[in-house]
Amino acid sequence: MTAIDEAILSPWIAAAVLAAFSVLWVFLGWLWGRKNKDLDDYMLAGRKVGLALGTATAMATWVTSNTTMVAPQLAYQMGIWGMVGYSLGSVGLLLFAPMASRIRRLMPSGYTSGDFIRLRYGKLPWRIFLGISIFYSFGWLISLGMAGGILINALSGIPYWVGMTVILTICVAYTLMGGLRAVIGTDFIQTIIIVIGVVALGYLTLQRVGFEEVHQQLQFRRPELLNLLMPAAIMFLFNNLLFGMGEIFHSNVWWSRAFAFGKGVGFKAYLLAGLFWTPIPIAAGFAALAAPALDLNVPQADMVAPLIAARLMGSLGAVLVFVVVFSALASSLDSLLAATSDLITEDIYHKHIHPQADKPTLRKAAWAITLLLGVGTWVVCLFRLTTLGSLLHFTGAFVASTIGPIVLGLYWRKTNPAAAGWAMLLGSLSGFAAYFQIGFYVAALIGAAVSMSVVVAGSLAKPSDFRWRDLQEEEPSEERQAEAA
Amino acid sequence: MTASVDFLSILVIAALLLSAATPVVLLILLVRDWKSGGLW
Repeated sequence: MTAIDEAILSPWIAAAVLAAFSVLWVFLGWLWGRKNKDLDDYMLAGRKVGLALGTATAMATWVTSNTTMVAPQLAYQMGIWGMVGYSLGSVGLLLFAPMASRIRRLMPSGYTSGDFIRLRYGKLPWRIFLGISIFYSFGWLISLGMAGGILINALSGIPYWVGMTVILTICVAYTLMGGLRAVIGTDFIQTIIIVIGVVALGYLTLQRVGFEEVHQQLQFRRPELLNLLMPAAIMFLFNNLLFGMGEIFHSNVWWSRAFAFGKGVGFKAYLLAGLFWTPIPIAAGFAALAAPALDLNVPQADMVAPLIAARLMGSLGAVLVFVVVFSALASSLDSLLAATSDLITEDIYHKHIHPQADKPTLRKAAWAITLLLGVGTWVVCLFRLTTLGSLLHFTGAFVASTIGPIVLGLYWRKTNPAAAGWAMLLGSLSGFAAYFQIGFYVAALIGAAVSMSVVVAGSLAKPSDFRWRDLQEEEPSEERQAEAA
Repeated sequence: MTASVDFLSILVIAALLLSAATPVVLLILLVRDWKSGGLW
């Protein structure tokens, strides 16, 4: 029996685990969905989410299958800086904490990140932003759907299309039934499962091998992994930092939570989520550093976590990794489905196609759009068009170009709307060019730098004088809506 | 520049302790929110 065979769960056990968790998530989605009375309940969980659920949902959404599988892989390939670099992905969450509080205060009745760009910068920059944001969201959805199929197949032998179909169907089902409330509630349980799994793996590694032996074997067999000045790892660190900031600052996944959290919760929730997220890639990555000490042959670097778990815990280790990866996938996929559906419902359907739509109509539209997004993602995932990594790095150029316009738009009255639009466009194009001309590791860096330079220069040359109260959009009254209809 | 065994130990122990504390803190916050009626 090879190490890979040992790490693979029996398809029957895997199917039983999948079925048990699927029933649980769908039941909870149905249960919590019964509390939803109107559009705000469905899209934003009633705008009163407390600190515990707020912290857990921000954390769980940012812990993707990448965090649990790629962090150990990076530790195995890039050493200490690989896992520390990955953990710096939390900087985006930490920096978003004050922004979340400001967003909630400036836009108490806002729905999406698109609302902010439209009210702050006008129609053209808004449409550029929507193009970037929807492209990114769809890219992330596809990569998560494909990751689901690939990982379930790698960990259990269940065919790719079966695993991908199961995870997408389950997430779409409970998101449809319970809206953001179901997403946030299940995220809490998923966070607890993920963290316990990661800590158990780290602790068992420590107990079985110990630091002295891990360090000694690394120095003897893979000394480059202890190098604190490894150039590739340092470059990865900065690119990852900016990519993470761009992803969080612009994406409606994080904005919708800022709107959904109760008054005074956003700052604390994002701060705590960032602090709690930081050690996860290190705790998960450490096990991979123990591979030489365990005398483990790793034929595929991306399978290092399940290989270590199986070596330390036997078939129980394979179950543990499977449950953690499934939870990490579901916690991000559900959030992304809900937030992308909100963005399309509010910014495309409501603001472009049916401006007179009342709230019950919008709720039906949100439901239908979630379903369509799920079906669309499933169809694309069936083709396995591109690899998970390259698709995500590709979007890095685009999302990083939104950092300047978002941050300056939130804090600096003089930010010029036209400059913000050009910044997103030129930043995306230059990041895109850098991706092909230089490499994936500089795409986000160049996109962010060009965009920030354009928005600052344009705003200094022709300063705007924005009134913050213009962000508080009046909701048309029921009578006015009826009259217009 | 090579990481020493002490550096590796401190980094990993801190990460494991903070991660282990996370579910405990989240559950305490959950009970507190639930008691004050501010769960969601």
